[in-house]
Amino acid sequence: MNNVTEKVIQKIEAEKIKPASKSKFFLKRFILWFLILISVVLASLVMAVVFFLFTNLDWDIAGRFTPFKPLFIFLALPYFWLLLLAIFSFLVYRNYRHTKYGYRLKFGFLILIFFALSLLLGFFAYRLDLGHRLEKYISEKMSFYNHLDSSSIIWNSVDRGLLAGKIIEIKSESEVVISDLNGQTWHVILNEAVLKTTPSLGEKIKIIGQKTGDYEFLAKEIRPWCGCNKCLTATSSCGAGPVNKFCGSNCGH
Amino acid sequence: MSTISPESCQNKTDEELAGLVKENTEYFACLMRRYEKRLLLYIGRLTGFKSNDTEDILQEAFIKIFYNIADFDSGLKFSSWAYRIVHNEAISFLRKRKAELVVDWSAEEWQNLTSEIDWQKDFEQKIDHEKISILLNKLKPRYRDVLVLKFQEDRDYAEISDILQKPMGTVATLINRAKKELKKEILKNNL
Repeated sequence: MNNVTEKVIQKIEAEKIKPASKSKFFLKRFILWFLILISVVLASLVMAVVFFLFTNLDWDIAGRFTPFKPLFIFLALPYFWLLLLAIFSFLVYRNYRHTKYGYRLKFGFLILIFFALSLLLGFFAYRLDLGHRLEKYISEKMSFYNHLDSSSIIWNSVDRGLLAGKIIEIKSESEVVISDLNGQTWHVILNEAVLKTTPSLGEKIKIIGQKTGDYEFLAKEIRPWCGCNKCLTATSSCGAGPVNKFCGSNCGH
Repeated sequence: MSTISPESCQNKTDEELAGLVKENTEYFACLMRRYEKRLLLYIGRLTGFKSNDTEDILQEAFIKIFYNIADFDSGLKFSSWAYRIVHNEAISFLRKRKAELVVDWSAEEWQNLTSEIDWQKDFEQKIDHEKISILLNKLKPRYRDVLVLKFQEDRDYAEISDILQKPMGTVATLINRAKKELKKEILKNNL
């Protein structure tokens, strides 16, 4: 006597239950894989930004923060982008886990594959300058980013002789006015400054020097915001200003 | 739904029948008849419930299997897929009831389990399997699940992996840990 079988048959007939269509499952699977693909692409772009930030790290100023220079890496790590990377890793894991055979791969192995793929695609994206463009776009469009970005935190240290911001006025050959990363206006004296970029209106720059008064800063060196490495590539433009003759020189030396 | 006779299903594999259900839902009755007894037994082992409850669980699980039959593909054994749905249904039923899980181990099943553990090393006297059944029920659910599937349902690692939706390596690790935990409990309780 197949008691349950008979009951189920009756229930299926009484409630006119039909098997779900194949297309429903196909759609579900398609959406999952699409989300995985999107996460991998976005993670690769994030990785490109991480590459860009690392290659443009100003190691020469590490001594202003710590006597043991390798420790500077912890200050300079792009935590905002690494957090995004962790979020995309989680999304990939979660969505992949819900695919048909997603449970067969171990968590560690899946994350390893994801990172290898993101590194590879991220490197290509970095070579195509996408890391720089994305970082610049986020920096310009999302004001909160400047409070989270490690470079912004490092270059927002007037007490350590570091200042950064956008040039809002060129008073003369020896003085510019900038709006710093907090939106504060500073008068920067360039008399003794080594120029690694020609200051131009709207350009974002880094300044090494010292505070001389209320919102007055004596510059010893002016660098383009995106670092010198980027300036060496013919296709990229640093900040809002044009590529210039100073970009070929070495930053920090 | 009852026009397909049980005889016409006899020479067909589960997977063939599952494929036929997609075209003719009447073949589903054949699959249910094939699996009813063993799945009822499995639910009983997993939950410790008696017949009324196990039948309710199986009924719901069969409806889910029927509704999702188009999602089944030949990359899996049909039995693993069916066990998975039944397992999930039973666990969700247990959660709703907030019931204690009680697994009955027969002497033969107990023998299967003990033969895999090197008892001679640690225990000289004969161990009372009924007392140890109590300890088995105290194990964490993830350990109990794998022990039930391995030693009561006689499923291999690949099948357990497909049923519990865990990697095969994890299944092997869980089985080893479950056996160690059980040994530890036996020593702790001086059985």
